[in-house]
Amino acid sequence: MTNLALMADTALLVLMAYLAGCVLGYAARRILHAGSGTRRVTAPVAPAAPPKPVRSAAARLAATVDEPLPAPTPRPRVPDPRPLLLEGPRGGKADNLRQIKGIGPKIESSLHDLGIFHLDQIAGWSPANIGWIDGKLAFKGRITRERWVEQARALTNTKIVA
Amino acid sequence: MNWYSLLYLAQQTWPYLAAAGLVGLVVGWRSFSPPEP
Repeated sequence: MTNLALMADTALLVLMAYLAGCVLGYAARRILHAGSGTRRVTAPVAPAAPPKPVRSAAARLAATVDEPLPAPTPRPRVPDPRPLLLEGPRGGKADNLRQIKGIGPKIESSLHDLGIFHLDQIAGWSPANIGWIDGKLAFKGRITRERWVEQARALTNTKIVA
Repeated sequence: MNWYSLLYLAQQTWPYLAAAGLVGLVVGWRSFSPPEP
């Protein structure tokens, strides 16, 4: 009987240690992430512009008259990682996303919440889109591992032009 | 079972407690999903 009580107390202690570890781990990552978020918000200091050559007022005036306006440099276009998201299902009826192996009712609900209702939406995901969804729903690489996009393409027979 | 005997028990079983704490640490760490920036 004493042995049983001893075992119960030991189990209790182990459980308490486990729970304390859980709380500490969660808090530690949260604190670390908050720190990295603050760092990310901080804009990098732009390098100092090279000093402009000193010109006379007449030269500057001539330059403003003669020189054509410099063409605006096109800003590098950063692809939006967000996939096509809908406010609601087209025609009021969503596809059964559970046809894709790996998607259960819970994940389907999460995808609906995000604005993904149709198989062709999943079929059109680019690697950047996959990364965005993966991070958004914390799937940890499931989309690629379970080949959702390939499954969706097979289900919809959508031809994606690369 | 009083606090002293619990403390004694913890001293005897500290490697198991440390292992459980380590496992909990990993589980807690992985359970936090960073929000979208």
